[in-house]
Amino acid sequence: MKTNTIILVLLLAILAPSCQNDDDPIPFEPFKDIVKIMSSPTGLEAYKMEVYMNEDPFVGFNYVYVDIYDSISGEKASDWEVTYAPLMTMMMDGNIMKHTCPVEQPIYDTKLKAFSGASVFIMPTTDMGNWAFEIKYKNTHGEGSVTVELTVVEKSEPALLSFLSESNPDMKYFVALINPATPDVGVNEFELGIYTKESMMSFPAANGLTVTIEPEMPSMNHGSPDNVNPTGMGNGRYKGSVNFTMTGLWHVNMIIKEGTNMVASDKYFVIEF
Amino acid sequence: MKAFVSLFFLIWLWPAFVSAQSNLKSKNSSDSLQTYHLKEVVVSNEAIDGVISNKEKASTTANVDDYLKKLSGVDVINRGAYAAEPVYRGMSGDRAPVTINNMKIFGACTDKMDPVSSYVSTNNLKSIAIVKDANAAKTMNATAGVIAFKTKSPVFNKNKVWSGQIGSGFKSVNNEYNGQFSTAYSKKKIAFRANGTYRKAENYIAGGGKEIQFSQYEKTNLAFSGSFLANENTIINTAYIFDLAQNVGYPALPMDVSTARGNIYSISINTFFANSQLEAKLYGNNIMHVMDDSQRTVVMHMDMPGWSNTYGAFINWQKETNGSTWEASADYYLNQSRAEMTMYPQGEIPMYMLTWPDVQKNSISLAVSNKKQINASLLLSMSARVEVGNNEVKDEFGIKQLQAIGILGVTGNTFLLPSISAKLVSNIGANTKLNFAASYGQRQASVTEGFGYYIFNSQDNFDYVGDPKLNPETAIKFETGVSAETKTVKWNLQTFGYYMPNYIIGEYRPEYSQMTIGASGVKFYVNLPSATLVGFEGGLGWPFAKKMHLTTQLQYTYGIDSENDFLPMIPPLKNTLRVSYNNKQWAGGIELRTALAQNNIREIYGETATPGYSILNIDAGYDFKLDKTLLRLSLQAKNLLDQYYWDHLDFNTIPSPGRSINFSIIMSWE
Repeated sequence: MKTNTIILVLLLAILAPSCQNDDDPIPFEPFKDIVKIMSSPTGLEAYKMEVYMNEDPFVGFNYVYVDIYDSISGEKASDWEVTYAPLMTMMMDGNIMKHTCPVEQPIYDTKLKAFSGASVFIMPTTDMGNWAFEIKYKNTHGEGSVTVELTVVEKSEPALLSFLSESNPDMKYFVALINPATPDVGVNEFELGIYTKESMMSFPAANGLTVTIEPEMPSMNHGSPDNVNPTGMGNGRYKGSVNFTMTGLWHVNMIIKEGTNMVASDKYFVIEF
Repeated sequence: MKAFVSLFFLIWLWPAFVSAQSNLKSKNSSDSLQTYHLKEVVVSNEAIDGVISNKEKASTTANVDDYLKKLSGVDVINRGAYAAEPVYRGMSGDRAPVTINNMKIFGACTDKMDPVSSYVSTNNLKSIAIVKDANAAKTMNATAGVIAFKTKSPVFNKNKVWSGQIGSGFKSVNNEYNGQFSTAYSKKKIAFRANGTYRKAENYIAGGGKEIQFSQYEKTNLAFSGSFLANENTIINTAYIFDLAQNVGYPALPMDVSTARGNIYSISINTFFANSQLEAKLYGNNIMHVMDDSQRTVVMHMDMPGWSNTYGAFINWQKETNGSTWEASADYYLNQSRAEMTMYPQGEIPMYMLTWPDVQKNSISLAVSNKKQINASLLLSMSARVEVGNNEVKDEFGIKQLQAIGILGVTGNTFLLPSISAKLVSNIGANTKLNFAASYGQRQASVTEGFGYYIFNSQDNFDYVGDPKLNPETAIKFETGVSAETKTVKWNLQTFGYYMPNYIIGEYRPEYSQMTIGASGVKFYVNLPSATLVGFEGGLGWPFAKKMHLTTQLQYTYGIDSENDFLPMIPPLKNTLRVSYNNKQWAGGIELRTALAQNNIREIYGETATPGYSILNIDAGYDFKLDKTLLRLSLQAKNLLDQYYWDHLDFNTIPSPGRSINFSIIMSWE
């Protein structure tokens, strides 16, 4: 009997559940830990504008957030019309050249309580060329714009590929890697933005393409299973997923087709983490 | 929690143990223990009741693997000259786990470079036994049997206070120098013993003269145990083992070991009542294993450290009433296994992954067994055991890794493992016994089988991935045998059959790409519908002339899966024949170890046919006494004919050592 009691006590001690704390909900602070590009009065009443980006501007797909609010009441300018107009001005052989780049025009994000859009910078700021990022706004009482000079840098591993279509050498494509922005071991969202160049001032989104991907670790000559090819979401965006089985240097190889026409068969993004 | 447990054990810095049996003796008569001072290791197999006895004189050059091979039904897998992995009836790993004094302990190497047997030294070893059926109920779940190591424990002795032993030896085949010591102290209420071993060896030479690169090793093992008689009926034991292996080469593998370290500790209490006894033990062990390839020429260097930490407790209660012994036990343990792999490509950032994703296993078992003398000629043993528990991946990185290969929503698993057994021993006439045993048992997949991540097997050249959703492997076993013992001869024959539903093994998955450079692909661990193993073991002991003894031991296993394909790593028919001479001072023997060719092979597991071999060993020992000091000289010639051979189980057909002249001298005093 005594023995049984001892066994019982031992088992109870062993089985006693360990307690676990639930994570506290994190309060939503949309612009915490990201880069504030500028802050400026709009010239319309007491409205002020703040511009944020996830990181310093780089060659590739950049989210740009614009927060416009009444500096006295704090009221958000949610019904304004806001457009982005990035412009590169270059000196080439004594001539001035200007061009824009692919843009996703902002819409008001009710969760963020700010305008959210994107700009796909296609070249870095250099001694001979500068990016001016113009934000135009309009409400029922008037309109205006604010322009900010951006220093766009090239990432060590390119986040944007530009090339001519393999089947149509007149067609220039730009492919931007949107996700994974913070790659990790496991399943990663894989998102591309694909655009073409119509003219110096027009870079429309390229929809309706077929994209297949294959990740590879070049130094190990192996890939990973169960990847999901990106499919078109509109606005030139394509979403799928890519799996990384370990940390290190990965290539994500892509094959891009428009119908049966090959657009790119040898392009890849380098992802290192 | 871990820190707390560690601290708890640190307080009891010098832990130990005494087997229940010797305690029973100490209770009955502490004087009878004066004779209990084993210098040779007892290698026993409960199935055959010790028909084969080994009376070789103790030598410092023998290692644990040499003792393991003497067990009926046991073979070893060599990956070099160090730390062979035991195999019982063609089954190894978690099918035939090794325990030390009933403690659970798991190696920390994903490549099985550190079987648990490598953490015990020969001069601390009291016995090795295969426990199965009812005897295994209080140990752990295993589908083949448990290889139970017992270490030496302090002995209470009224007359002797100090005793001790020092020894040293040399092996010519790999220039191994070794030294060992042990010392014991006892008083009325307190006793302790301490021992240490050191070995250092260079590369060995295979038969015919080929030097086997990367087969060196260096090992230090220290052990301490202490016992305290709290009162007439209660003894408290502590034990501690420290083992450190450095610069160990594994010529059969692409990597070596820079450091393998084990800390193994326990405290237990044994209480004796009129007809019953109680044993309770708290224990822990921390194993760290660092695999590296810095001495090899490789495309890319890598580090693969591993850790295995186990903490446990159990209570055993044993009661004897007229002709019937009841035993009950409750057992808990926690194991955490983690292994990392970092690769260093030139000019790139390192690549990192977890080969064991920090898996924490919790296990609780309850067991009961009964041994009953039904009548003068019938002994019936029965047991039941149930283990419940869970595995949990503790590192988020590991869960993400699994997701990357399509194993979604898995963070661990739970298990419920029943096992039952019955064994009947019947006396036929005065000298002959028949035995019949039947058992049903299950084991949960090991860390590697359940959670391993691209663990490279250099024998079949595949990367192995675990599956957390595997079903437990089941063994339905029948065993029957006959043994006889007359004044002139002892013999036995034991036959067995295992039917194993959900047998766990790797299966090729062509849709996955290999991780290791040059590997042929990926295998996932799967449950086969079933596997079947049958075989036999036989032994003969015959004192054919005065002081002369002949023993022979024969063993065979045949294994197939449900498709009638051969199972890999099954030993061929083997026989050991030994003729020995013994008198008071001299002992010597000549031994022939023979294996037939193994052609029952499975190429997908990297197997090739292995030719048979016959190896001749001779040994001689001489004891002489100077006052109270006993001096023992021992000389052996292993593989006398310098044959070039390898055993079928030796990894990657690594050749075995050639001729070795071993010499050792041991001085002991009382």
